[in-house]
Amino acid sequence: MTAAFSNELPEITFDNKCDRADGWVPEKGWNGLIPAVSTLSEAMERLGAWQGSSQLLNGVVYDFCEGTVRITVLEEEATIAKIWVSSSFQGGALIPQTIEAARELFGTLKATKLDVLQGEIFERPGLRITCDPAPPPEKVRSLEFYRPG
Amino acid sequence: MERKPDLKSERVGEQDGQENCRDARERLQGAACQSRQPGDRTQEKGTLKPGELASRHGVDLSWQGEQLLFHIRVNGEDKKLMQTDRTPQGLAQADRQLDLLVASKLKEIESKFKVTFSQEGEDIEKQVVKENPDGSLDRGAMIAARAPRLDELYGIEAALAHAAPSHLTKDGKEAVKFYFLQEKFVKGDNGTTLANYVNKDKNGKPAVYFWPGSADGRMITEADLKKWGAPEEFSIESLLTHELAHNSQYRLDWDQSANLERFSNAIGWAPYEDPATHETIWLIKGKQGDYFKYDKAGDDWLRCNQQGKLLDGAGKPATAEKDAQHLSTAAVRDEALVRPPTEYFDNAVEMDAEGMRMFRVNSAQRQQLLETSPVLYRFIKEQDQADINLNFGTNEKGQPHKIRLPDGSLSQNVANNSKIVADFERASKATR
Repeated sequence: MTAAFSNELPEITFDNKCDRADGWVPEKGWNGLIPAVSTLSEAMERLGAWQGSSQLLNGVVYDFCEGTVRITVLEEEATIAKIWVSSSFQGGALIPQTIEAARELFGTLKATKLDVLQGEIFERPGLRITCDPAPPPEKVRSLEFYRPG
Repeated sequence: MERKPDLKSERVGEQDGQENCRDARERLQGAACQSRQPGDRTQEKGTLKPGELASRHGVDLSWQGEQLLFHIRVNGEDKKLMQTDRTPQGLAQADRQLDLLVASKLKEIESKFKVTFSQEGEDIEKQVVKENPDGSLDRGAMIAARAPRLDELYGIEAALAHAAPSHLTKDGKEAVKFYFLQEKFVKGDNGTTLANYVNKDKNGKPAVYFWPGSADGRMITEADLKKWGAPEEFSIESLLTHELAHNSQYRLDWDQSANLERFSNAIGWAPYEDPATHETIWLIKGKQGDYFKYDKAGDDWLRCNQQGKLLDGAGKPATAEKDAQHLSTAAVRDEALVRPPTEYFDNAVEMDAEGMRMFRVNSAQRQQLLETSPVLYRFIKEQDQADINLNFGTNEKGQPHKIRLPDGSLSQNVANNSKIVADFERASKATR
């Protein structure tokens, strides 16, 4: 499935630095989009039309911004389940590029897994970050935002 | 001309005989065939035992009386390396000569393939420690490397000959580095890991980490396995060919999620999002339209329906994993729509790496792959060709310049060679 490609991307207003008094929490989501709250239509308002999609056994993943943002919607749910963002989104300007920068933004992140292709995975409830396994400081590859159960 | 005594190769304990370290490991536990310990090279050089010396360099040992013969079984031949007196001076001389042989083989491989090897004592990366109650990982002490042994170098050389150009970086300018770890990469790991691939080492380059003892007691090449080994074993060559397949995957951008989805779908896997953790999990598709989810804790598989929901033995929805139908790896392999080539298929990435290994390592295994899993064979062939084309390109008609022959070697894409491949595939009979 494909939708019409939009050449005009709405202005991205993602605030790269959270108020340290509050810190980031899953309810803040990413870029004004909140898993389990925002809808696909709201995502299209923020990111433009989706450009491709792929099937899950229990949902659909929609590609935005030339594949640098992927949004999952599970069947029987009206809201976004997960937002995946590549570190190359918008040329990398708005995404923490290292795990240390990610920790400044998102707080404590624990290493949970090593994957042969995805690298090292760091997590906190509501957020999953994949990084290069080496050299330090580990370079961020992608971020996933979701509402923890 | 001095007549040299014939050397016997019998296993007669302390008398004339053969001390094949690969076979004698159990007998000499804690002595000759123990994995190298840090400092072995510099300590007790003057008091080396013959078996220890052979083990240190990854070679075999025979003797008659006071004469020692160091040899190595590689590429189906028992190759003599040197003969020396069974004296401290003789052993020291053998040690020096074996060092030179290792250095020479290492240089030859580096020059031919652009790969590099870890040096004795070199830092690799910090050890992964899995001791937290919540399962999170920490990093412990720095793991040091050791230099490679002769058997390892021969095994790597054989693998590189069949896996080219997968050993190269994407731009072809550099190649994989091989590290030989003095400690396990994951502390306390009691699994069966022999080696692992990383796409970024401390220098940001692809690498293969050989875990301690991974080559001990192992035949070097598939030809050696056929001649001297047991069917259930695999060679150093085969182990490496699998790990280099992961670099092939990296070169073909399997790490990009859209590609991972496309490739995994092509070989019978489907993504499922766990509603609780929102992790993307991969399920393997069955012939009957059902799916199977790998359960790492139980090392078995859970039956699921087409929406990824658990099913019990009667085919009814199950709410908990303990109530779902559990199947063994062997059973799921038989039920899979696209048959995994071996029992190592925790996910599509490993299934593909096993397929690529069989496709490249020799014609017998390539034939076995074609006959038992023709869908996977066609996919692997396309992937392999795409990998080859990254470095050797295509002509103005889009035809590749090089193709892989059934024996794993690369050759020019000319009519004769295409016919060799076509005849090989025509002669094989699909059993599935």
